[in-house]
Amino acid sequence: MSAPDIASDRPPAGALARLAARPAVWASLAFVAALALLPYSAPLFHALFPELPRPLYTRASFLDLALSHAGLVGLASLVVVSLGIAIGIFVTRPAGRDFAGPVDTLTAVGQTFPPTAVLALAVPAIGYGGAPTVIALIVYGLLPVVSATIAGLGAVPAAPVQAADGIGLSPAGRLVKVELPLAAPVILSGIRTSVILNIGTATIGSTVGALTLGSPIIEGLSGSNPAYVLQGALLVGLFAVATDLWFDELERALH
Amino acid sequence: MIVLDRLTKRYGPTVAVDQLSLTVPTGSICALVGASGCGKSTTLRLINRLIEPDGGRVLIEGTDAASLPPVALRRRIGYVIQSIGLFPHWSIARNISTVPELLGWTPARIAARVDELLDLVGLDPALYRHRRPHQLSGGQQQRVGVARALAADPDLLLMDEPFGALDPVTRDGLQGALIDIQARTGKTVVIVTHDIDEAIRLASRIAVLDGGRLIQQGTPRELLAHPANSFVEAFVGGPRRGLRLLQVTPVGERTDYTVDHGDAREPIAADAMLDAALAQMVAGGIDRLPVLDRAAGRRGTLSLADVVTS
Ligand SMILES: Nc1ncnc2c1ncn2[C@@H]1O[C@H](COP(=O)(O)OP(=O)(O)OP(=O)(O)O)[C@@H](O)[C@H]1O
Ligand SMILES: [Mg+2]
Repeated sequence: MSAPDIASDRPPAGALARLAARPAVWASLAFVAALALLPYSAPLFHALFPELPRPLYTRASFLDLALSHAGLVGLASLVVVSLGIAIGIFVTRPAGRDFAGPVDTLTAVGQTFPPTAVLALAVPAIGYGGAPTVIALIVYGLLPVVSATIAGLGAVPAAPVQAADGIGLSPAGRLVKVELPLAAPVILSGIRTSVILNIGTATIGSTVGALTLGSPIIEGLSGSNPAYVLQGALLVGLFAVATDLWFDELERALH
Repeated sequence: MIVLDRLTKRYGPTVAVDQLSLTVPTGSICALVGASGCGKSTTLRLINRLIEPDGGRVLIEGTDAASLPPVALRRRIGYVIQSIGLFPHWSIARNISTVPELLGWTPARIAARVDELLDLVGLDPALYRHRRPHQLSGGQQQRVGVARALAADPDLLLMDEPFGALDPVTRDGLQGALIDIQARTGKTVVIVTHDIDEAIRLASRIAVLDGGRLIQQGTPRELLAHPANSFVEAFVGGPRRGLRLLQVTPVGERTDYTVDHGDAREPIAADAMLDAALAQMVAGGIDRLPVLDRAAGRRGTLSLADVVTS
C-alpha cells in the first residue's frame, strides 16, 4: 500500500501529520504559547534574575502588547503594500517612466532615514502614540515593496507581454492579467521583507508612547531590567519568525 | 484587403522597413520572405500597430489603421508572434480563449471553440486543455499559439513563422489546415516564413524583402520563373529552382489532349502539379502518364519530355 493510501485511510492522522510538517504552524504555536505562559513565569524569571525585585513585566498584558503591535504593523503594511505597488506600477508605465529615478532616490532615502528620526519629527506634528509609529513604519517599509514591484514587473518575460498587446489586451488588462500575476512572486518577497523589517522596527514606537512588544524592551533598557528586555525580545522574535514562515508558505503556494 | 503604402520604420540608424508598398487582396495569402533582420516581423507589427510607422500608412479594408483604436483593431486581427509568447500562468484552454473572452463569448461557446481548435492543430483536447504551457514541447506550444490566433475567427491573420518549430509531418498537416480554413472562410493572411517551400505551397503572392525594401513580389510561379535578381534567385532555390518550378506548374498545361493514353493505370488529375507527375513516373519507371481533366471532361497523356520542356 502506498503512502497516500495510508493518509486517506486515516484522515485525522494524515491531516495532523501534514500540519506537523509545517514550520509556520509550529512557530505560531510557540508564539501563542509564549504569550499564554509568560504571565505565569514569574518564578522562572526570579530564578534567572535573583537580583531583580520585579523580574516580570506587568505594566500591560503581553496579549495587549502583541495585539497592538500587530495592529500597528498591519495598518502600516496595508498602506505600504497598496502605496508601494501603486508607485511601482506607476513608474513602470509610459506615463510615469520619467519619475522612476526620483522615486527610486526618495524611497531609498526613506529607508536610510533612521526611523527614530522620523518619530522625533512626527511627534511634534501629530502627537504621541500609535500615529507617528505607523508613519515611521510606512516611510521605512516602502522601499522593499516599491523596488520589488519595479524589479518584478521589469523581469516579466517580453514574449507574453508582446503577445498580450498583439492579441488585443488593453494596457490595463495586460497589467492585471499578465504582468502582475507574473511579477507576483517577486512582489511578495518584497512585501515579506518589508513586513518582517517593520515587526522589528515597530518596537521603537514604544519610545513615543505606542503600545508594542517593544514596551518591555524600552522600559528594561531605561530601568536596567534585563528580564524585561528578554521577555520583549523573545515575543518580537517569535512573532517575526512565525510571520516569516507564513510568507514562506504563501510564496511556495504561489509557485 | 491590407494595403501598405510607402511604409517606413527606423530604429536609430537602422531602416527596418524602407518605403514598403504591398497589397494583400481580401481572401488571399501573402508570404513575406527574406533574410534574418530584413524587416519581416517589423512589417507585421506595423500592420497591427504594435509600433507606429515613421512614414507611410497601412490601410485595412480601406481605412487608415492610424485612425482605428489599436486595441479594437488587434482584436480583429489574429496574431501569431515569432516567440510564441503563451501566458505561462494560464492553462492551454485559457490561453486560447483570451480573445473570445475579451469579446464576451459565452463560456459554452468558448469551451467548444477551444476543443475545436485543439483538434485542428492536432492536440488531444482531453489531454492538453488543462495543461500549462511549460508542460508542452516547443512545437506543441507553437501550435497553441496558432490556435490562440485563430480563436475568435478573425478575418485578418498575421503569422510570424508560425510553423518554424514543427516536424515536417506536423507542419505539412497544419499547412493543409491553414489552406482549408482559408479556402472556407476567405481570410486575408500575411505569413512570414524562412521556408520557401512553405511560401510556395501556401501563398498566392510572395514578397521578397531585403534590408527593409521590397525586392520583388509576385505569384510563386512568377518568382520562380523570372527572379528579378540574383538575390531572389538564390532565395527561391538557386540550382534547385527548376525542381520548385515543377511544384507550381499544373499537369494540365503540359498535357497532350490529342492522345488518349488508354492505360489501365489510374490517371493523374490535370490540376495536380508536375512534381507529383514526375514522382509517379520515377516511382513507376515509366515515361508517360494518363491525365484526367475532370472539369473539362477530357483525357490526355503527359510524357516525360512534356514535363521537362514547355
Ligand atoms: N525594437 C527594436 N529596436 C531596435 N532595432 C530593432 C527593433 N526591432 C527590430 N529592430 C531591427 O530592425 C531590423 C528588422 O528586424 P525584424 O525583427 O523585423 O527582422 P526579421 O525580418 O523579422 O528577422 P528574423 O527573420 O530574424 O525574425 C533588424 O535589423 C533589427 O535589428
Ligand atoms: Mg522576425
